[in-house]
Amino acid sequence: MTERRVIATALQRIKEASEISEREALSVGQLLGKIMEVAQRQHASLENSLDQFSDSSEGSIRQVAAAQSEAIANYLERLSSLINEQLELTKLAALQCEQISKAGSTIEQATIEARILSLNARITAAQNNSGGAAFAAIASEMQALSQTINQANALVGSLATELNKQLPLIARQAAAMGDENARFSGILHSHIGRVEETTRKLEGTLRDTIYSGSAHYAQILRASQRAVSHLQYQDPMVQRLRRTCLELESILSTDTDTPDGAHAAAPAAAPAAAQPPSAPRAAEDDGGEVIIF
Amino acid sequence: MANKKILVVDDSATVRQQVALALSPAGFDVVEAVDGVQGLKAIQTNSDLSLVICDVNMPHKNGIDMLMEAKADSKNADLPIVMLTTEGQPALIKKAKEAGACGWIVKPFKADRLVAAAKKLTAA
Repeated sequence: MTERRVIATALQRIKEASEISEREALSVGQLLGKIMEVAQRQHASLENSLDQFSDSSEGSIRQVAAAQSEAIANYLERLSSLINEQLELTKLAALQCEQISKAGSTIEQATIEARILSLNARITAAQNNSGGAAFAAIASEMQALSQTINQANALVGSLATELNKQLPLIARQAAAMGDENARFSGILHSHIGRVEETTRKLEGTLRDTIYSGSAHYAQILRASQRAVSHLQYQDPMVQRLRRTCLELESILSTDTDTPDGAHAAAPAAAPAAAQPPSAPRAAEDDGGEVIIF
Repeated sequence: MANKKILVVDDSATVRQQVALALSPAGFDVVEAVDGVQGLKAIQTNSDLSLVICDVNMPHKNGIDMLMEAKADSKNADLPIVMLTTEGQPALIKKAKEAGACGWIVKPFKADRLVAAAKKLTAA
């Protein structure tokens, strides 16, 4: 009776162990499944991030920085071109002022000649008493005309002089703007160069980080799959335990105990135990043979 | 493009889970059956199966019997069925081949080999 009790207890323990083993293996499998799912999602996400950093991608940091640099360079070039145009216009205005001054001299010469003609007309009028009235009128009109021209010329001359004074100032300011633009452009180009360099480094660092992260997730996936392979050990072990249970149940079902506890005859072996299963292999061994017919 | 569907027939919950864990990340949808009887029902109800992976030693109806009954139906003539088992007797392998199995995988399987076999057999 003691032997039967021991066998029954062993049978019960084996069944419990088998159930625990299966339950725990399923739990480990579930957790591995979650790990693999997260790793796969992260791996895909990082691969996607890598695509965004590719040189051909419109949204890449390098592309954005290059577009900004080009826009700034274009703006500075346009500004420089406008300042140069302003300088040219100032030079042209100075030239025109000079021409106005020359024209003023010509007009002044003409008014002197008009005054001489007016004086001559007055002398002629004085020499011809009664017939000189017409000459006197001409002389008077010519003098008035000469005075008007002189006044206008003086005004134009004054304006030209004033403009001539201002134009060099405008030219200097335009030149100063050009210099400032050139200086600013130099600083900006230097900064853009540094931004591009920093961007390149940042991109490289990010790329390395993503590559490394991606590789790590790939490793996690591979390790999880290997873990799944090892987990398969549980099934043949449970099968062996089940066969052992069948053997024990077979012993219990026979009522052939002798008083001294020895079996009178060998118990009928359970069908499954007739051919003991070979020892389970580790998944990393040569197991897992695949034959495709 | 929809994932290819694979039926796993095995009385062990852990094996079914482990096959699913190996195949799902590779882009396969996995449906399960616990023995040959349920396996045959699953073949009838899932007309879009690309592959069946079947254990040999199962209660109610073993894998070889399930294979023969499935292949007896002309609708399943082109359905690839591969056996996944701890068994390795040549006579059994020959029997499965003659019954129409397209492959034999020995447990414990390596996940990458199982995936490679599944891809090859569902490539058509």
